[in-house]
Amino acid sequence: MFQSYGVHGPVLGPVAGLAIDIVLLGLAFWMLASPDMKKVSNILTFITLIFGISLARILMSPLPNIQPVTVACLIIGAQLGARRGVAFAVLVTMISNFILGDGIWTVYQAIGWSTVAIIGAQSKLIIDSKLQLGRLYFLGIASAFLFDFIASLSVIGTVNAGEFMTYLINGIPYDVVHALGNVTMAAWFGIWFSDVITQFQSMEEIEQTVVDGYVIGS
Amino acid sequence: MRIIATFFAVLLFLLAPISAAESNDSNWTSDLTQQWNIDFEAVYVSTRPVIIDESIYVRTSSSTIDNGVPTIYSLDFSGNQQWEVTNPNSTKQDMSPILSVSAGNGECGNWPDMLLIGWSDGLFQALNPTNGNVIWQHSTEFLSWGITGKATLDGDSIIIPTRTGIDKLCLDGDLEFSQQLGLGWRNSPTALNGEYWIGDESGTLWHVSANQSVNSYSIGEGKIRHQPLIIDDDNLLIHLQLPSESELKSLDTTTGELTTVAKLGSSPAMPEIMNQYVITADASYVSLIDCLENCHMVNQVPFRSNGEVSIIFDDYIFLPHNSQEGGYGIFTISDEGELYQVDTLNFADDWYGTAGLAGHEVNGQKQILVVNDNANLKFLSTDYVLTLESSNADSDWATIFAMVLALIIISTTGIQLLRERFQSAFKFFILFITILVYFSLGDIISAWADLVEDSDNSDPDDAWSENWPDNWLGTQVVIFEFKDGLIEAGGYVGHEDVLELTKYATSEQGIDLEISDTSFGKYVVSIDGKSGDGWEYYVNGQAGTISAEYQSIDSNAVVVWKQL
Repeated sequence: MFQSYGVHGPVLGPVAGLAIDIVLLGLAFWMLASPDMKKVSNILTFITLIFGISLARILMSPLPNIQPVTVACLIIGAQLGARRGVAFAVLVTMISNFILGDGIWTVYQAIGWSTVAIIGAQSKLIIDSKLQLGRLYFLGIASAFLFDFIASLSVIGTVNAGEFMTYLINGIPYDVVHALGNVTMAAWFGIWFSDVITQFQSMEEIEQTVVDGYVIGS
Repeated sequence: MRIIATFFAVLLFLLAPISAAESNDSNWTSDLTQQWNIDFEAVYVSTRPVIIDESIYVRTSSSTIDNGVPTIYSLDFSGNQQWEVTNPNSTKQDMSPILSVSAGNGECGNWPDMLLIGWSDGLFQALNPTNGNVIWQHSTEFLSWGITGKATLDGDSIIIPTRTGIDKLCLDGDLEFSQQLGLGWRNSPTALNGEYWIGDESGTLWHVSANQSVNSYSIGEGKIRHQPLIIDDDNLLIHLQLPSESELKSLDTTTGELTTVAKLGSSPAMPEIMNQYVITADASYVSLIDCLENCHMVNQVPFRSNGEVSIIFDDYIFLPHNSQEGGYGIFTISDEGELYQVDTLNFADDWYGTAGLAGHEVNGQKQILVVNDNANLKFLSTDYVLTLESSNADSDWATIFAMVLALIIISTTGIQLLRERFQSAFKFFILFITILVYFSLGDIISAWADLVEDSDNSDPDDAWSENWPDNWLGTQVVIFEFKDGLIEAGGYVGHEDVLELTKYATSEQGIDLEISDTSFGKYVVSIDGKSGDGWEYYVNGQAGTISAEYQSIDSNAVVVWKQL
């Protein structure tokens, strides 16, 4: 099944691929279209994060299901909010898949990592400007299984229910490796990555910017 | 200081099993304990059991079908039967030992892993060691008896001692030639420089040259019931059985000169070579012959043995005691070059015995299989000694580097724990686990796939096509189903996974194979330049669910690649 459908399903034709790219790109820019993005430094920092994590994903692609994007989505979601977390997830997926291979799975991966970013935004991972490592480990493990499940949905329509279950069960060792990789990356780079983003505006600062803009405008 | 002490403690802990493995007990025979016993009941066993990989093979024989059907059994190391092959026509005592052949290829063809069995009705069979299926078979002449001696491997051929001569077969089962010689019994051919030597029941040693011309040498008025021993390129040693004694004779094959080395006892066993020495046994003595220069007797030890001589674990000689008391004598050669008896093995159900023993060593644990004429098979072993898997010679530099790295990381974990830096300790620990899983992922995925899939449903016979040549039976076959055609290839042996077999088959067939790396394993993109909507593989009719590089296959697997 892996051999017949690749990692996450059949390859798309050029027109379908272009349509999906346009939709995903539109979603990302819509998510980014918020007042704080008017600051050039914020935009540059955000772009650096996107390209940095995309590069990390490409470089780590030979390692079996080690996905640096998952933990990055959790932390970015927690620190910058769900909208920018989703935008980050979509853009990283698109950029890295441009090198690693594009197809219908790009949509499912984008949905998967966007979901992870939203979970990160809702999970109180940052308390008093401090990253909660224990919570990050737990969410890293849970997100691995959740993301892999969402990405696996890309083969639906090409396999029957029994084959899909076999596909999921055979993928469990990969899910475990993904979870292990998330915990390892959270342990080694979690705090450092969180500190890098702290230089970016926090949610409170964003809200303040919005409020200030409203007051000044009125 | 505490950190240094901890580091060395961890180092010692990790290296401890290696030290334990190296301290091998030289008095291991006294540590042998019986693990299990199988009584095959009213049949005989006259040939040594064979151990190959994870399986044990033993043959029983019978002089009347009422006592039991002659059978080849395959057992696992717990004594559980894996399969059996019977031959109800083989109602004379079967004394031809089981031979094993590893998969290979030669000028005359390819062959898979095989067990080679000669039956007393003249049938010679090549069996699949995994399931007992017949790969090929060949009938030889039957004159009251059929095959009674040991067949001999010679490169890519097998030389079968028929009732009155030899048949030479390619290991793929094709007959190369058949040669009539003298009437033989428990005789066995020797291959020397592409020529063959075999004795008979009238004391004649036959010589069959490469061009199949035949000449003979009279060794004496007796019987030659063993394989002539090769002393050097020019000299053979023959133990001639006489009515009440025996003679050990050396034949110079270039001059035809015959020399008597020693006069020995009656009913000789089948002699064996052990480095510069020859071990012979008879109804009275075990004898040590030194053949470093001219063969001469060194010394003798009283012991009665008339069957197979077994040399196991390099320097231990095991002989079945052919008497009602039974048991087994264990001998070795001292530093001074003399034969002496180390020990004896006795059991409650001892009886006459002529079959040799099989010896096997796993992780420092010595295992032996003994069997007597009454068909009581016993599995004995010494205590288990654990060794590190990585200590085998196949370790490559990448593995050594990974081991050193893992050692450093786990040591650092311990150090950080003692320093009560728990967060740091956890970082190193989780890194260690990740590296560990990374290096064992292939095995984990294969094992997991085997666990969740019902491998019993996978039978090569289901995928077998009657149109395929017989010599593909029992071998690995690959089929490429293109949308517009079909390529079939078979006769492959020794490939462990689908991708390895596919790479080999495409290379041999001159087909392009494009593979890409994914984080889930290797992915076959196109075959012969055709990608279509992807490729799907099946093993014995079952669709593959993991990367082809992780899908292990049996020696008789049928792999089908279908273009979507």
